[in-house]
Amino acid sequence: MAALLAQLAVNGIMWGALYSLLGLSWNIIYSTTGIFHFAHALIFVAAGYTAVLVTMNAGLPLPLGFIAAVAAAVFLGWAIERGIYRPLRILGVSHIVIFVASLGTLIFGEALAHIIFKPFPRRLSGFPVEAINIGAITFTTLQLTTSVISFITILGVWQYLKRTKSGKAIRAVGSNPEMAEVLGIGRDRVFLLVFALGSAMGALAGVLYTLDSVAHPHMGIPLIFPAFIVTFMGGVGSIPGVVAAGLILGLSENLSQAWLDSDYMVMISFAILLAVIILKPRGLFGSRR
Amino acid sequence: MFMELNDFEVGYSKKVIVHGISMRIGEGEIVSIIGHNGAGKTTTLKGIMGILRPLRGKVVFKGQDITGHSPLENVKNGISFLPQDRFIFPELSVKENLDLGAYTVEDDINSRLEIIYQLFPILKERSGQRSSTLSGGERRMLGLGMILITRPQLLLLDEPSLGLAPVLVTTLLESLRNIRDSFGTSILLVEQNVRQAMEFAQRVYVMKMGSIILEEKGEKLLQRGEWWDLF
Amino acid sequence: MDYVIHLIILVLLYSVVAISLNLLVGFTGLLSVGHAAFFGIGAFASGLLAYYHGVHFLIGMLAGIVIAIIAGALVSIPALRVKDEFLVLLTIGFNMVIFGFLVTQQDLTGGRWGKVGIPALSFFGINLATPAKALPIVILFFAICFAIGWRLTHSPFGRVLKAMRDDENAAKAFGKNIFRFKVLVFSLGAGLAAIAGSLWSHYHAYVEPRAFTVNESIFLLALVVIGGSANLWGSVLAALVLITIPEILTFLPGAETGEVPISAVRIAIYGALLVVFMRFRPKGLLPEHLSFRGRKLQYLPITAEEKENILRPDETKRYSGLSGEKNETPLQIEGLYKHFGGLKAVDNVSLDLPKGRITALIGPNGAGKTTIFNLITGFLSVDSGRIHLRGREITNQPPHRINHLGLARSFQEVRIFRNMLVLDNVLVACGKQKGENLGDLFFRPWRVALEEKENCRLAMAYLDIVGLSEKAEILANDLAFAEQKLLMLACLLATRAEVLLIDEVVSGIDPGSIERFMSLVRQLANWGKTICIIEHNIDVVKTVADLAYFLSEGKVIAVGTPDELLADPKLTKIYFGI
Repeated sequence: MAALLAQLAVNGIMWGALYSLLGLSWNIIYSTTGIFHFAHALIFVAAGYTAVLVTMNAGLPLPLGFIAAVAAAVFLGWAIERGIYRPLRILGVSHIVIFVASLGTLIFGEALAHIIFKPFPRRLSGFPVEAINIGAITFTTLQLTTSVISFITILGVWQYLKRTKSGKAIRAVGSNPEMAEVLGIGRDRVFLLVFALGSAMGALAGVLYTLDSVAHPHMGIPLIFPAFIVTFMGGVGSIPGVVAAGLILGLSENLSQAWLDSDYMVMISFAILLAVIILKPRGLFGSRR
Repeated sequence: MFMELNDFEVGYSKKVIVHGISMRIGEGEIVSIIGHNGAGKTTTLKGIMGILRPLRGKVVFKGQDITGHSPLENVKNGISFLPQDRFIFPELSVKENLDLGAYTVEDDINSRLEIIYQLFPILKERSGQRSSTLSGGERRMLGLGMILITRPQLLLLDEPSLGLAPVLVTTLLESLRNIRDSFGTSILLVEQNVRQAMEFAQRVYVMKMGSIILEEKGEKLLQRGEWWDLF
Repeated sequence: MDYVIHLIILVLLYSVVAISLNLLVGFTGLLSVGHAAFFGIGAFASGLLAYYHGVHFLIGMLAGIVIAIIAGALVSIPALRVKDEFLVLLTIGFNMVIFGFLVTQQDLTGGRWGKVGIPALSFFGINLATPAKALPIVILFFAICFAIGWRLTHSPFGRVLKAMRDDENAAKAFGKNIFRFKVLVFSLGAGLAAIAGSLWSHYHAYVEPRAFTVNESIFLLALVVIGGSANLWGSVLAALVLITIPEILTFLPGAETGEVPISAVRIAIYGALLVVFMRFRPKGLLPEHLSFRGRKLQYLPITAEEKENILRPDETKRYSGLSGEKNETPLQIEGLYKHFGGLKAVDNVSLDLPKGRITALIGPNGAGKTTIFNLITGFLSVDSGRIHLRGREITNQPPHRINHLGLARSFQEVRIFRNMLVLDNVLVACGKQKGENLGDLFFRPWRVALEEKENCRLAMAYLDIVGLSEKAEILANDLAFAEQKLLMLACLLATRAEVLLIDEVVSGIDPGSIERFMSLVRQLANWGKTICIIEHNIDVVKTVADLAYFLSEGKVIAVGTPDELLADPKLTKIYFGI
């Protein structure tokens, strides 16, 4: 039993890393812009398929697939912000309207992917997957790489936000948009920056996920839910929160498998989120909004 | 004239707040706007700064028509604005706040930071602290530091002494006078504390219900003896 | 033909669910993205009871309704404390949990694949297994649910929902118990959805969890928003459009060969429709106020004498239970303290408001004046001190209860219900109404109608007094700024409160209109009301106030007539620093 738990715990930590990356990719957009960007789920789909097309169809090396995926995701994120959210903001519509537009975008996008790519899952290869055994615990090189890339990315983004001029501008707009405007920090430009950053991170997560699993048109929503959960559980705008929440989510989902069916996983993750929202509405590490 | 407002009207789509006022400020001059709450003082400043789009009229600065310019354009042009409240980024440190004030600055900001620290030594002391931990007076200094770092030629200040103890107010106004004396900065400030306004400013505009009802030299206004009718 | 009837049945069922969600989203502004869960609860409860125990569908439906109502009430409780986006998460989470439950309890529900073989709808022993046979029952329930929805929304109850949507705090200030209404609307929405769910499962003769996922909830939300928020016919129209038109696509060439994935095309179209609608017609196909055109105003003109009677505070009728003695100072405040962190916003403030007089609170910015109003009306909690209204302590009572006891306030910013008619704004303020009570609404409609007629008369009278009676049927948002402030005054009148707290009544008003406002406020005092105003315009204070309290930095510095205070050099020093 102890061995099983240890294995599940390691699985949990590795999933947790991916969840944290997913969470941060959404959190940074939401905490800076206040937009409930449901359509972010499309980023994962776009990234997964781009990588597949570039690597599997065109036969190019996997790193190029990653780059192409990130580029496609950033482009998509920008298109959504400029083409849909910004015009609505200018009209001054309510939050509900923007939310529904985001939903519509997601629905349309996924259906489009379904039509273009057909609902058959596509594999993505090009990564040498080997098993690593440490005692009774097994994990793959891919899982390890995913975790490492996730944490490094999160670290990188954290430092970027802390040290660079544009990073601070992002934090400023998220913290006090009115004063940011007074100081000449253009809101629209920062929004574009944040959408690019969030989409790029989402693309990374999407490709890593596809490597381990498959790309299919409806992969977006199952990946966006952990992003939401991690964001609100950890606290909007909090990077330590994202990491903590990601790990908690990963661990609880996996450890619970020692006793419960995997079907229960989604229920459990949402039950945990509900508990946190009810008990600590601002998230574990407090939130800006 | 350094800056001039002509027939300036500002408001929201439903409601005009400032009705066609005219104002001028000379280079290196300190001018104050006083008046009751809701008279349109803050709205005037916001209209100049471009936070609110003017509905009518013109703003001329250094000979250039800057009506409706965005805040970014105004900052680059040499105008800075300090709002009445909520003007810091609470989760960020003092230094980070100042860095953000220097967002539009192209050259090296360290020398500029030094000047700000000389003006307000307490900011240097607390430079690594989260700005939310600062007291009211310290926040006000931080806010001023943030907008001074761009070396503006015109300062728009919305009730800079609000909520400050009298001693701090005196220090603050002294610092402002120093800045004007050293750099030739013009200052247009909205004030609640009428005495300070009249003592500190060379000229005072009195606003009531969205219009200017009086324009007077500071000392002359002091000698008036009756001020309730202005409000 | 059967196929067409099948479509009609689907449209009717989805209309009911859409209407039930519209109650929450369109009328109350609660963004619920998990409504399919209630639909599913109704379907599974009713279907499984019939499957396992041969229970008749009506009983099964009842069980489904009860369970859904309980679930709805439970979900609403945390929803009371969270804002918009959290509500989205909460409801999605709830949907996922229910879905997860249905999937994991395989033995009970058949897991992912659901249960086939649910008994059909039956009526007096006749099995209604075909679409044609089931249609009448479906139409019947549709009509019942639509009627319930209509009754709820075109009633004082519905008015409160819309008021909550437009400005929750203002609704509280007018005496509406927000908590109660939110719990009720969640429960009602859940119950109605469960009715449709029950019919769904018996009609299809199977239930599966996949029909009640978050995707489904999003579709329901789309129905509400595209059809028209707060428009019930809109929800029906949207169901018609979004269910039948995609079906037409199946008849396109290429559909049968499977070359073009029809289901995906349908979904793509509906997704695109959502975006297009939000961009170009956010109000939906049938906007909210379409159904208000042509409403006849039934009221009889009011004589001057009746107006007098309306406006004199009616001590015995409204405030039973309180001392009926003529109180010289209906509102008494003792030793009020309020801290925010280290800041003393209100520092040992005591004041008395005399009956039939206008008392002004004046003083520099940040003196704590609006904070005092917030403390009196229960919007902020008191650190220490007591507030008595006609001898009864009201310290820290919730705002709606204080309103019921006879104290009303207006806000510094213009707070009106922008998406409601001017007349409806005033009607909302008219105190506790029978029509807000579900029991009276459905079982004693004659009482409700009578009271409504009387309230309309009164509301028109109040509008007449402030000079807005011609604008009674326009949208509050379309009023000019000064008119919006007049509307706020009319609403204050409508509360029939004895004590009125008016925060900056003339700020932003052009000088020409100020006279009108001041004379109105004066009239109110002459009619015996106790009035307290916060005012920065000294002219107004001098003209209209009988008594003034000078506050600075949270403390009362002086009390007296405006002339006395303005002549006091100490106060001049504080206000002007001179």
